[in-house]
Amino acid sequence: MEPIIEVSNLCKNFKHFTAVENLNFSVYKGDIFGFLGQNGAGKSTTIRMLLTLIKPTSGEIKFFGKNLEQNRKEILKEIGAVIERPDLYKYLSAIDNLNLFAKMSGLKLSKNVLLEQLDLVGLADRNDSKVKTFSQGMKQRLGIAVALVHNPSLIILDEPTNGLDPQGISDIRNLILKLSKERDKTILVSSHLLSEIEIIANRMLIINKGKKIVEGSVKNLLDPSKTIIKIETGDNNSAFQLLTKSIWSESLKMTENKIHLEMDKKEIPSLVRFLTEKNTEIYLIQPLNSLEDYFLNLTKSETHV
Amino acid sequence: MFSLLQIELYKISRRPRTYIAFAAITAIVLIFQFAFKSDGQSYMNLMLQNVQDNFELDKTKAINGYFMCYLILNTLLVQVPILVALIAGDAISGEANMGTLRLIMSKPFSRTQLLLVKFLASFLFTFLLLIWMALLALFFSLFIFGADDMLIFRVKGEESQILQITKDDIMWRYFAAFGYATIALTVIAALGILLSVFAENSIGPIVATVCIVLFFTIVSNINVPIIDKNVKS
Repeated sequence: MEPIIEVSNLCKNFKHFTAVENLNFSVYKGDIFGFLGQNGAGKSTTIRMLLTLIKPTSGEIKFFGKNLEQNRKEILKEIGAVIERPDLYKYLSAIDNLNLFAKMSGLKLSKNVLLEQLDLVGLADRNDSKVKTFSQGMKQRLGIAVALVHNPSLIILDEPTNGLDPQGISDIRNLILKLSKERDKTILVSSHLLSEIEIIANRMLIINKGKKIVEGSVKNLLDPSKTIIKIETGDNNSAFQLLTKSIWSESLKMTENKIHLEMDKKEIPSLVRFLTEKNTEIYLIQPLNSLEDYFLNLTKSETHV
Repeated sequence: MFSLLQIELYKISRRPRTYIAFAAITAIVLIFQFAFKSDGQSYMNLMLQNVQDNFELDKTKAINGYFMCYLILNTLLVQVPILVALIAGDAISGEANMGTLRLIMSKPFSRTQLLLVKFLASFLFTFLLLIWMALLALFFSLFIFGADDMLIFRVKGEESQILQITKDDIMWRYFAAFGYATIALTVIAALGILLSVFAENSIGPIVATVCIVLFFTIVSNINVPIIDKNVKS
């Protein structure tokens, strides 16, 4: 698959605070990529780096196989974004806002084309109304129309359902799905709600305190039969090496000298057999909570604070 | 770059606050012209009361278009920079406050281009404001009051002076004055934009720009030898 975004070892430090630490992920053509994390996890900071609003402390960002720093203008022509809030010129009408941002991208669009764009987000009948008269949901949809006006192949939406009522959330969700299916757009959408990402995304990345927790297909990651297993052995490094050659190598991770891997609970006996056959001394094999429980715990602890 | 400038001018033209400057200048100039058309002689009598025993002056000719323009420009010395600061101080901070700066910065042009376009737009606004002032204060005054020699009343030290400039020798001076004003106000616009880069709301940079202008205006009017020697020179 063709990678649209490739992020390698991305870091962002603000004086004594590390907002993003060694982040790696890829977004492929046609993905609706969910970027999940609780508030303050580093999602917006990462998106700001992707859009060149702030400079990374270190690491590399590539779009369409090209380095962002060296090909900024060329790359930004292919990206549409709604960053944090859908802030637009309140004293201008919806169609004037759209026209203005089309011109900023070097396009001169006819009124009919602009109305088509507004129709896509359900605002054609309010094209002459000033943005200051719009509800939050309408502003959000207009923001998406602005992001789409120059027909980019990649759309980045930072928490697009924030502050919306259930109807507004549903409208935005349907719009994202429509853009992916009918217009073949690649979409990166950030959220702090797992349920939101679960519904719309096909792949996702979870970050916490600026670090990647997990990345993969939504279907696999949220499979209720899959469990994260913690393993402790007499020699964790040797056991880790052994497991890299096993069928579980894909989800294998070494965190703080403990082995973690993701598997179906039913596979635990096979894992024990595999390790004992290789003369590994097993001290502990512990099923941890599922990824969903893990993320819900993160959110819960945030709520308690 | 040109299309960016067009966009910037379009945004300025669609904001109600832009017209505050033009409306304020129009109101001030028209009030002056109305007052002097109705009762300008009383003002002239007051100004000339100390010298009318020694000089024979035709007071009716003293109130003319050139004199009116001089009077108006002196009155607007502090106000016009405030009007320029109102637009320039809002250039970047206004976008940051509205949240549109993030969106603009994710478009395919550089920060240098953005700052340059903001500066050019502020310069053009300043230039248009001065042309509007020239049209109203100079040409409209000439239309209402006619042209004649200009009398200027000055106080130098303890002496009161009256300068008379012949009407053929005035127009170039006004062009020079408006040219100088364009440069001075462009500096204020640049200062406003500079300060607006550091703020996320417009009030701070606008107030700071105005304070700097007032500070230097006051300093330049303090007639104390130490300031004359060390600051003004």
